[in-house]
Order: sequence, then structure tokens, then C-alpha cells
Amino acid sequence: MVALSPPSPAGAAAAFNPGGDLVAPRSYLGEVRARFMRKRAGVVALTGLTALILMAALAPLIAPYDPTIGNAVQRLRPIGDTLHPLGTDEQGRDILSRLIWGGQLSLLTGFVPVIIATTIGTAIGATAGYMRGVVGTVLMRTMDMFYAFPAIMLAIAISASLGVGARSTIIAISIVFVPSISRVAEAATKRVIFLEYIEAARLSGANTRTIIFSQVLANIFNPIFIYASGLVGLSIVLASGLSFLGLGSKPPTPEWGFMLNSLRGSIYLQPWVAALPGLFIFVTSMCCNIVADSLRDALDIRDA
Amino acid sequence: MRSSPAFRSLQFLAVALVAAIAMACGSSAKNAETSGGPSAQPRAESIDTSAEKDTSGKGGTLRIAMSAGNVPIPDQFLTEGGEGKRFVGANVYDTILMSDAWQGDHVPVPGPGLATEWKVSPDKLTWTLKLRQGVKFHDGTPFNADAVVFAMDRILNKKAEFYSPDQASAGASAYAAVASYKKVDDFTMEVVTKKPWAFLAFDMVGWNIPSPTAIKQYGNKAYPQHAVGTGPFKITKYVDGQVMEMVPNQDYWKDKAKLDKLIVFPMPEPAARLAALQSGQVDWAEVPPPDSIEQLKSAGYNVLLKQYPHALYYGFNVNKAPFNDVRVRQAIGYGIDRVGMVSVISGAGKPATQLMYEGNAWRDTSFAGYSYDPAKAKQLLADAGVKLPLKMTVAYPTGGSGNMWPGPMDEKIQQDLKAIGIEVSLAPLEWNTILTLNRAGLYSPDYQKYDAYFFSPNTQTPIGAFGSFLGERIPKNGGCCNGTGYDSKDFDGLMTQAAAEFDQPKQDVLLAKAEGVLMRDAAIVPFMHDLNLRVMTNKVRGWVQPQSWHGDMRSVWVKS
Repeated sequence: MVALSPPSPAGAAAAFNPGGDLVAPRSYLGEVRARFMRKRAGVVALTGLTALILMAALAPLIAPYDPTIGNAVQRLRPIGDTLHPLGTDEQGRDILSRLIWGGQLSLLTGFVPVIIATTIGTAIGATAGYMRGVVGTVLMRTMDMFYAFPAIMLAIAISASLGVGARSTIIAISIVFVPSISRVAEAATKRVIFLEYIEAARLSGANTRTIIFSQVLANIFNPIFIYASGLVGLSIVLASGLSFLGLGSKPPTPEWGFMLNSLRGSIYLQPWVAALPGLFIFVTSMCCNIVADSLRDALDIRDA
Repeated sequence: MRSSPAFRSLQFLAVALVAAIAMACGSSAKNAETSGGPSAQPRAESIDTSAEKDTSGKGGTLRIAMSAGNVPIPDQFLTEGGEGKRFVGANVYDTILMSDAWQGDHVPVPGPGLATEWKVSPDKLTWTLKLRQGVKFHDGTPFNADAVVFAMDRILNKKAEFYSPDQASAGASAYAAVASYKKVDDFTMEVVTKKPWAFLAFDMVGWNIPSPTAIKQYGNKAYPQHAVGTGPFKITKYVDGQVMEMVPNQDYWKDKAKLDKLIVFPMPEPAARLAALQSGQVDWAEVPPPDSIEQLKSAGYNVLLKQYPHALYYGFNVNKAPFNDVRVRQAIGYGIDRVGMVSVISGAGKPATQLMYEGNAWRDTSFAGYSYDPAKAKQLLADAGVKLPLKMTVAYPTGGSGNMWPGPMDEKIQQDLKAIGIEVSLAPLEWNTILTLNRAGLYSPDYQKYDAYFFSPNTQTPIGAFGSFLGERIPKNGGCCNGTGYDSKDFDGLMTQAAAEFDQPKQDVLLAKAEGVLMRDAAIVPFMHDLNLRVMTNKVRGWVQPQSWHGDMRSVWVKS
């Protein structure tokens, strides 16, 4: 049976082009990589994102100061200060160190909700799409109810009811993302279940479970992955928004959205320092979106 | 896919960022040379920098951005804590005794108000009040002893027709000492206290007298929509959550207000108040963000700061281990870098080493107070045998009147205490929830999860300063508002003596001793004195910044 990797259309393309090329056919992933590498913006964004992730992961090694301890006398130093290259915040804490450490929570709240929502959303969408009928209708109409609320309002409501903290932020954003992902999963499932290989699997005696796991999931992976990768940037923005409103991280734990909020009062004295966390949110979210865009183009071989 | 939500939000973010940068550019030029300002010497000693004492004119409309979360409900006792009283209560109502808050030279003391004279009987229990004649409520009702009895019935007489349980709870502290009261004649009252209670003069400054006619006409529930007092202003418009408008009472019994109109807006966010001031929506803003002070000064605004009796503190659950050990509480007292905290708030406060500030009659000068001494703090924790790191949860208000800037101040304490091995977890609560916590106490089941709470009383009166630490005021003992559960025989004894001491200098000495006991026991650890930061345009004239939370709006006018 086909493994969990996508049914290589590249391989299929090669098969329909027998002997046409002298070049050895590339593997599916190899093809994707080659296509991705041709997108300069994507490569730059991926490099940037990798650098940001590495920066956050290596925070204990590279951050010059403790991000939670400040010196009140040294507060609000400007960018370019000899001791603090990116200045200090309203408590006199080193901004560079806080940005580096803050990346941990900010990136975590960017990726984790998307992973959780993808898992749950795919399960719901695939079930609804495969079962159709009453089960499908109930599941999908329930999901539709969530669309009645704007994403940020829903996130604020859930987060506020769960209490302050990064954990409730992650849960809130996951819930916000589940409906749209399940919709994508349902549509994709409906497209594949009438295809021949599903029928073949059914004829060969595979039960529902086997079909869903080995046939359906493998074939709806691409559209869901493409869609979900586009959500990472949004997730970072949403999480920062919640932190900005005081619903995200708890002080003194640094987080970019929270830093933006606490530096807001100092914008009159050090506007550039106050804008830095926003710049990081902006750049990270931008990188995520460009990478997702390029990835979509690279993965969508059939449309090429 | 191009118009995915991710992309749209990104566009929004980009626009917002550009806007922020544009704004930043605008304000950076002027402050380039003062960037060292906030970390420079704290301006704790600033006094009344530029109060416009121009009393030549009159008229104009004054618009104020209050720090209150809502328009104070103008019942007999107002909502929104001190902010409700100072911007609405003091304007709409007169009180039995009134403070001389129209001057800025000394801390205001009780003086004649709706009562012109007051005498205490030799047994120190019966107070005879001579009431002012010829005073009328805004609705024309004459003020007399019946109006006072009616007002007191609302709070104290459960059988009265217009008894209000809500108002009784709000007024519990101001009327706690009263045993009975009666009308002698139309302009004479007798009030009997439960025990000798010299503080009654201060209590009576809190006794607003509403119009009995209005309450009878509208009933307790609808009365606040039609609030009527004898005060210098009367309410002409009241929209819950938005605005209240007042005009001068032309029949006022002493100097009338000079303004044509007074409008107050509730704006709990410091940044929102600042924006309203800069955009010209208001003429006067309470507590803007401290880092805006320099810019506001250079832009020609009047920035007022003045010492007055007010302290911010952490109150501990003194019954909960390890905070039941006085050494742990003292360690926290010595572990806070107050001078650094003044820097964090750009000099808009004064370090509080005791509840009462230096120079105040009720400060115990024999106690040095809590200065920053981390070594001593660590030693005290070691002596107490506390296992480090010690975890501590502190409930703090996100805003509210008189709390200054709780977020940055708490974060500073969090850093300081981390250095002596105490890990503080901060729990943000609504200001009204903190007020409820203070009434119910940290030992009540709802609030036991907190080890301490951030509070900021007005310490101008003996009860305002010390009432919350009396054993009899622990809720389970039937009293109100001892939030920490502090129960000390020494302290209570000194307070009882002070309450029975009608000679003010002698009473001051006893109160200072009581303050010393409280400070050494560290049931609370003070860290900051507010300086009543307020900013107004130079068109606002005649305001006298008092040494008090409360001021007098009658002298103010706005130049056109």
C-alpha cells in the first residue's frame, strides 16, 4: 500500500513520459525542493525564519543579559547604546535579550496552535467528508457556527474565559483555527473519496479505518498543509494581539506582543525602541507567509 | 489564497506599523536631547510646578478625563472609589463637616460645612451639631435636621422606608462609630457614638446629604438618575459609561463656582487620557503615562505634582504561612528598591518607606522605615527558615483611582524580590474586585489563593490610614475592611486611646505610635506615595493643587 507520503504525482508524470528524458526522474520531495529553491523571496524568507527559530532556541546561549532583570537607572536607553545595542525597556531591561527570549513564546504561539488545529480540524473534516449524511452535516454546521464570530473576538472571548497565560492563548487560537481547517479537509475528502483508488481499496476489502488512514489522509495532506502553513503568520499576530491586551504571557516572561504593550507608554521618549517588538512580529509573520506562499507553489505540481 | 485572512491581517499590520513609525518620528525630534531624562534624578520633590493662580476671570467649560472606569453613580455614597467622590460627590453634595481643600499650604482638616458648630459632651459620647440655616437643595427643598435624619436613616435604620442595603454597605465605615442620632430642633442634631470617637469629625467629612424630596419622589433605585444635593454644582446630564455634565448652583451658600459648565469623562486607560488631552477632547487629564511628562511640559501643558497623604502598599495574608512570620514580611519590605521604582515611573512618585510620609504628623519617627537592603532581607528570610525560592501570588488592580501605574510598579517589585529569592506571580484583577477583596479579606475562601494584594488608601483621615488594621474590623468579627487579617493588641490599644483623645496634637502622637507598631509588624509593606499627577492646558485657571486627594472646583475657570 501507499505509505503516508503523498502519492507521487511527479513519479506518475515520469511514468507517463516513458523514456522521454535522459535525466533520471527526481523524487517528489526533490522536485518540490527544486521548485522552492527557484523562488528567491521564499528562500530569503525561509532563511530569515530559520534564523529567528535558531535565535529563540539558542536564547540561553546568545542573549547578553537576563531578560527579566533590569536596572531602573538604565531605563529607556536608545538604540545604539554601548552596553545595550538595542536599548533598554521601561524597566531598564536589555531589549535585545528580551527580543531573543521573547521569540520562544511568540514562535511557540505561532506554530503550536496551527499544529493542534490541523490535527483536530483534519480529523473532523475528514470524518465529515467521508461519512457525509447526518454526521457530516452536524459536524460541519457546528463548525459553521464559529464563523459567526470574527477570529480575534472569538480568541479574546476564549482566552479571557480560560484566564491569563500562554497556555490559554494556544488553546484559544487552536479553537479559532479548527473550523476553517476542517472545512478545507472536508472539501478535499469529498473530492478524493469517489476516485478510483478508493474504490479499488474498498473492493480489495479494506475497512473504513484503513481507507481513511492509508488512502484519504495521504491524499488530502497537500491542500491542508498548504492552508495550515498560511495560518502560522496569522497565529503569531493573533497571539501577540492577545498578549498586547494582557491576555497572553504573564510578566516578567518576555513575549513580543506583551513587550509592545508595556513599551507603549514610553513611545514619547524612545519611539524606536518601542517599535522594535512590533518589527519582530511583522518580520516573523511576513516570513511565515512568504514561505507558505512559496511552499504552496512548490507543492502544487499538478497545477504547474 | 491571496486574500487569505493571513494576508489581510498582514496588510493591516503593515499599515499599523507605518502609522506607528510616522507617529514616532513626529515625537522623537523634540525629545532627542532629553533621552537621558527618565533615568536621571527622580523629581520626587517637585511641588506645584505651575498651578495657575489666576483668579481674575470666570466662565468657560471645563472637560476632565477621570481615571475612573465608569461615570460614578451619584448616590449618597458614590461608586468608583475616591475618584467618584472628588469629581462628582464633592461637587454635587455638601457634607456635614467639610475640609479646607481650597488651599494648598497644609493637609486639609475638617471645618464647618452643613454644620456650623459641633460640641462634644463631657462623657465624650454625645455630639451636638448646629446646622446651617438658609441652605437649599438644588430642587428647592430646604436643608434642615429632617434631611440629615433622612440621610442617616438610609444607611443606619433598617426599618426606614428608604433604607438602602447597598448604601448601608458602602457607608459602613463612615458611619461605623454611630450608635444613635436624633433631631433636637430643625437646626440641631445629636449624634451618639458607641465609644469615645474623636475621629467622628473626620467621618462627618464623608457624610453626603442628598435631597429627601428627590429620594421620596424617585425611590432608591431611580434616585441616582436624578441626584440632588446642596453642593456647588448640579447635574444636568448623566449618561452611564460615557459622560456627566454639571452646571454651577447659582443659589450656593458660599462662593459660587466660576465655570459655566463642568464635564467629566471616565477614561481608565492612561494612554487614552493623554490622547484625549492632546487632541483637545479634554482640558484636564488625571495621571497620564509618566513617560509623557517631559513632552507635555515642553508642549506648554501645566504638569502638577504634589505630596499628599496617600500610600501604595502590598497587604499580606498575615494568617497564611510563611507570611504569618513577621520576618518574611519585613524581608519583603527591605527587598523593594523604591528609588529604582521612582525612576521606572519617571519621577512621578515618592518612595514610601512607611505608610505615612516624612513630615506627616502620623509617621513614627522612631522607626527608620523600609529602605532598600537586600542583604538584610536575605538574612531575615534565612532567620525565618524559609525554603527558597519562595513562591508568592499577588493580586493587583489593572487601573483605578489612586493606583498610579500598577503594571510597571509590580514588575519592578517582581524583579527586586527575585533577587532575594522570592518568585512573585502577578494576578491582575479589576479595581472593583480589589475593593471587594479588601472588604472580604484575603482569608475569605474566594481570595485565599492570593498571598498579598496591591492597595492604595487615602491616608488623610485616621480611619482612612489605620482603620483597615483594627481587629474589630476583620469581617468575621463583624467589621468591615480589614483585608489583611492583622490583629494586634498593641495597635488596637493605641488606636482606642487615640479615638478617645480629643486634643489633636496628643491624638497625633498616639496615631504615630500606632503607625510604628503597624510598620514594625509589616502587615503591609508600603512602597510608593502618589503625587497626584495631573495635566491641564494653560487655559485652565484658578486651580489650587491641594495636599489632598480632594480639591475645590469652585475657583476654577477656563480662559477662552
